[in-house]
Amino acid sequence: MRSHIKVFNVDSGSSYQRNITSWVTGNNTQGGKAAADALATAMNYTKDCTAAKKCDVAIGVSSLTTSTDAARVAAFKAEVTAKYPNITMLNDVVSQSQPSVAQSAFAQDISAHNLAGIFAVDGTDAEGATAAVKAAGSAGASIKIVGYDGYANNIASMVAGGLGSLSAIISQQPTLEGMLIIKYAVAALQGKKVPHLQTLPNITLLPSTPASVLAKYQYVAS
Amino acid sequence: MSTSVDVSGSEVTTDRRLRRVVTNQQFVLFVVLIALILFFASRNSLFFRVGEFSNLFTDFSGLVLIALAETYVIVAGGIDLAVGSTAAVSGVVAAGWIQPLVNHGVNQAVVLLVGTLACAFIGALAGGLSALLITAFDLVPFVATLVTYSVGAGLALVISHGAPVGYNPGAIYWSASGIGMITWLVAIVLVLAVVLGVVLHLTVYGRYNFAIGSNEFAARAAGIAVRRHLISVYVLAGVLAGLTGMFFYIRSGSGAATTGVTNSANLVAIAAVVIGGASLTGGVGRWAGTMLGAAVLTVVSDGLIFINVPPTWIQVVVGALIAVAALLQSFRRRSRRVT
Amino acid sequence: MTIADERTPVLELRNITLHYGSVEALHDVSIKSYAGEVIGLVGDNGAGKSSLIKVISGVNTADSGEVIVDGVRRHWRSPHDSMAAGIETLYQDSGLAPDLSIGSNIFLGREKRRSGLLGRLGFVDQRGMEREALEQLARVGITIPATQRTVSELSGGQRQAVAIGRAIAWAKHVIILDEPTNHLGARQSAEVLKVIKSAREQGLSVLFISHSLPHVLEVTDRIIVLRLGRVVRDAPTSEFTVESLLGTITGLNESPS
Ligand SMILES: Nc1ncnc2c1ncn2[C@@H]1O[C@H](COP(=O)(O)OP(=O)(O)OP(=O)(O)O)[C@@H](O)[C@H]1O
Ligand SMILES: [Mg+2]
Repeated sequence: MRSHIKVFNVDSGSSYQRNITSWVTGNNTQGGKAAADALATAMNYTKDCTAAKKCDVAIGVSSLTTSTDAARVAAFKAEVTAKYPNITMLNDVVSQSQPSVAQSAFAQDISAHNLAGIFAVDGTDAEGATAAVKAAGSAGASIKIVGYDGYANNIASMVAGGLGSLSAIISQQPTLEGMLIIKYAVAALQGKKVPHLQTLPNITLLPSTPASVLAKYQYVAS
Repeated sequence: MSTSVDVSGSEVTTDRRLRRVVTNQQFVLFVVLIALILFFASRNSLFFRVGEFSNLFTDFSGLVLIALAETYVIVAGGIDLAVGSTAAVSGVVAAGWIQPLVNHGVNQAVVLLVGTLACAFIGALAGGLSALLITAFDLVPFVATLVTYSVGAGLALVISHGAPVGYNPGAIYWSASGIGMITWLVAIVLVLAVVLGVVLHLTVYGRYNFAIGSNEFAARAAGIAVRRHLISVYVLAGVLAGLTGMFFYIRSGSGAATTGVTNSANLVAIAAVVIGGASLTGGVGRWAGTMLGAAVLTVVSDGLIFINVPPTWIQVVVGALIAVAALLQSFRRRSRRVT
Repeated sequence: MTIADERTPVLELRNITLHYGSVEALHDVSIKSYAGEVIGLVGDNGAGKSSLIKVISGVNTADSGEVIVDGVRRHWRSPHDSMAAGIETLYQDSGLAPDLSIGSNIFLGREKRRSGLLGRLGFVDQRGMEREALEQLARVGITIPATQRTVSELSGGQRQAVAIGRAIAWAKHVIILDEPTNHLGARQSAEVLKVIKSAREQGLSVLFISHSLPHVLEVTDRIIVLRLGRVVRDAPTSEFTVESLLGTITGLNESPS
């Protein structure tokens, strides 16, 4: 049954997406691929990962059923399979949105494998990954982490550098997403036609990214 | 005059003693624990390393305090569903309070001590709420602690806005320091755990705990201040949950509203107690059982990740483990009735 | 009535009234009991016998009326206070903790502590308790080979014996036994009656509740009959026969009081 209430959606989607008037979200497929490229670069793939000595990579997600997580991971895995055959991907770590759960699981992966990289699919997993690598000490010295979402802690960790810091953060454009959806909502209520789905590309933030740009993408707690 | 009470079986035969050992829950758990460690090591020999044992001890420490809290409450005939969210709310509140100290470069020992006291305090408030609802408003523990659980989880989200609170890498580095496989942080938790075991089994306080859970009327009729004791037990559980919140803050260098909530830490803790042989109807439970139960749960969930089992299977295995423990317990009870 | 009136009663209740919500369990109940006297408290199911003894032991608090021990008006905040005043109670609904050992039950609420610092920290002297529990039970005529087993491993009669043993071992002035011969066979019941007689010889005041009228007539000095929460008869045992007692309890023969 369709009601007359118009629903506007930002970020993660749901299975009732077709009933939504307009949905603005980050392009998770592009973001997942960008993460794979950023991680391969950080790991120095061309030189350090070979068919004889493959590189192990762990992937941390909050939930296996969240649409954003699933899309990002699928794209990441597809990109790695296609472009980086010398990377072995371990089974997903599921953090249940809890940094400490992610941290414990990554600690297992670090001690069980010769881990070269971690893809943390959201802020929570990035938090857990950085803490796990820091706590691992010398065992984590060569592990590169690519995170997602510009939480203040993630950006601080990337800028600080050193053990367990993020090598890159794939960021959505939360400010732009929010502004767009409000624009579309107003337009739709005035009877104008609005795009049903608009995806915005994700940005790759690096330690070398200027502070002013970083500030623009940092998520602000409301 | 001899109203002779003949307690049969006072002479224990060797055969009988052997059977008692084999059906003893702690003994079985110990064997299971060793078997699990050997199994994981056989699948990946790296499991047998100091670094991995350090990981196991750390994860064990994150569970054992709330599991022991749950042991006290369950032995006293109650249940506490609030321990997970109490850890969350203590962690985020304390993280917010101590961040200015971190920013000003205050000595880490001072920062962490202040945080620990703050967490214990907030945990005590949460436990106090449960105790109030149970003793003054006569709510059953299940409902009362569910209220505390919801309040705690909600407040943690409101306070943190859903984002990590605080940023203290120094705490992470300290959490990893120690001797061999035992970090200082783990050592402190283990000492506390031993104290809790001694109090439970060797002191008057612990004895009252068992008496109340075994027969509340008998305890009251014997002059035990049942209400006061129950208040103290829920406050103690709250404090231990708060300290667990601080444990996770130190480990991750920040507080999160999801800590202990999204992974149903309360149920994992209860599972450890049940696996350890305690009875949910009260009066029965052992410190060693809970310790071994928590150890088995830790080794299983960590070990399965270690040998790269898909995450969906891990929950199934843990569920099966709890079922086996419960079956073992009912089997043991039945066999005791027969002898 | 008797010369007993000139002595101070060990225990006296004056005008006790007790309600459970809207149910009136006791109405204006007054009784006296003296040292070295066994009182039988009888009445139909629900007459208020257990309610009355719970007022004496401090489990229940009366809505009005006074509890007087050795001539002093007392107010119990909990059963602990009545125990401290030398009153021991065997409850009809089990007063034992089934998951604790026999020894721990004997010492429940008055645990023996270890000597020195450990004792001050609250450490219990389990071995000492088990040993003394054996002695205490033996002193009142109950012998058990081992006190370390839990009460849940005992038969109903064995549990009852332990509960009686506990009450008698600790009683200083008054001992209240609410249906102590419940669950007991004929031989054990006879033993309980002997225990009651020996308690009287030691100068204790005994309150004996039972539905077994021959037992009551055999062992008591005075009988108090309760009906619907009121005392309907309080007279020396010699004035009753099984038939007249039964009539008074049921209210079928209203003999003058
Ligand atoms: N906890 C309670 N709550 C409510 N009513 C109660 C409670 N205990 C007893 N009563 C009521 O008080 C009245 C007296 O009960 P009491 O147990 O004192 O009787 P009794 O003489 O001991 O009976 P019995 O011989 O069956 O043991 C009864 O009407 C009973 O239903
Ligand atoms: Mg009764």
